[in-house]
Amino acid sequence: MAKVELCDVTKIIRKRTIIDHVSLSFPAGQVSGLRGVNGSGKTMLMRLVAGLILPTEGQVFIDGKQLHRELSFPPSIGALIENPAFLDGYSGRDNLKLLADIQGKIGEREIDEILQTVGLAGAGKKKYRRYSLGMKQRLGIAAAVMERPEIVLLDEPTNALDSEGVEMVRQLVKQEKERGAAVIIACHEWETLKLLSDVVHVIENGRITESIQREDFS
Amino acid sequence: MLFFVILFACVDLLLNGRGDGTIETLIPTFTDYIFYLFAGKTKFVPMPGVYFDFPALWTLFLALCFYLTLPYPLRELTGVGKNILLRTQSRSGWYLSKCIWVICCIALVFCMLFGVAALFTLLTGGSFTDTVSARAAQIAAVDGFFTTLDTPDFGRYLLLPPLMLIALSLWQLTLSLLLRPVVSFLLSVAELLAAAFYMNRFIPGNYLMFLRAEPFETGGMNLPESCLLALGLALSAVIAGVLLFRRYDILPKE
Repeated sequence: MAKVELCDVTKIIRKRTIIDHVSLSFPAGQVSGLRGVNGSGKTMLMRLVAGLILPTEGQVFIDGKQLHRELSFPPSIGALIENPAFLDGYSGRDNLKLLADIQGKIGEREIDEILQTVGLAGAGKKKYRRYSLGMKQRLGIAAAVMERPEIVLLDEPTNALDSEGVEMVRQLVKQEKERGAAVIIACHEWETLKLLSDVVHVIENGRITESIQREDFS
Repeated sequence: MLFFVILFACVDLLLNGRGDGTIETLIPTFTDYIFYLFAGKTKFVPMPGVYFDFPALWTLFLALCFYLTLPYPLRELTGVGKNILLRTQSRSGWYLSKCIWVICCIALVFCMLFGVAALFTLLTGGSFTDTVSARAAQIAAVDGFFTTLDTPDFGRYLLLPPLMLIALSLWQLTLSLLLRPVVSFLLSVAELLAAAFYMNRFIPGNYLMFLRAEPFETGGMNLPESCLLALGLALSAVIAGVLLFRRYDILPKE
């Protein structure tokens, strides 16, 4: 059984079909890429998996349990969907601590480690409002993976990142995959997806038009 | 902004209460200050030559209170709240936390109001009684009311504005899930204007106007009924909101 399963999912918002009869599986220990232009439905698909929006038709299953019926949200998920969002008046470190304290799964040591991993060790005490776009993105990635969730959603993770940042994302995604997480990455850049994914699902106008396995990447 | 409106109300009452030789200067009681802000308007009876004069100060204060509790919940939801929600795993929990936030906001506003009123009472040598002076009631009512009698035991009615405002703010929060927040706010303000125009038990804004309360208006809003209505509205808003939020799509909104 796949970690995440979408069964004939359709999402209609204000009479517009955003996701159109999508059936997909996202297994644990695999990196699945979603490729599509702006407005193709990648982010909406991620929102469906995260439980932030409800399907108009079809079902979303997490470990065999149906979202919005048996579960409100996936029990173990980290997500960076659209822009990272944190509290301006808190430092990067305090923002992560605030989130970590909710479930209490990790402590300060793990927070320091993840800040080191994403390249924010020196900026952890700086107020979030003073962060550059790239730093905000790094903090968003840190928040998504710090608690070692079973499902990791990364929406355009390399936005605003320099080449070092992109390499950091690549290493982090590889780590998450090796840990056994189901990683779903949405990106419009083919080169980035090729680097990161085991399979890439191409989405156009809310429909999956193609699924390309790693060995078939061109 | 709310603070300045409260300040203005207190100063306005003092200025309007100045004596002119024939009438003594009013030294407002603590309750007078609160009464003045929430006086609202006496029942409007349309007649030839009589124009509807809406209670500007009352409307402004309440509209600002509605505005105060409007933007934060949904803004938080589409920002850091997403991450919090995924970790708390509970839509109901998030919604209830925002209801508590609304209640705390309104409570703070009233703490500020009572604090400013208390300060003015102390500075002007007024008394901390629960009596509404006849003069204060007349000033508040402008043309629509005349009495020579003070109204004692009015202190209990001071409970009404915070209760009803909490209830209406909770409904505003609930409606902002169904409609855009700005529409929800406009509905709240429209309801206030409707209440000013129509004295009707089914328009909740009437319960926010002291001049429409039983001591001042025959057949006016009575306290037990008003409190029950406020509690009922608040509870129904919370229940409706929790149920609606369970099916709510969390998407970026204007």
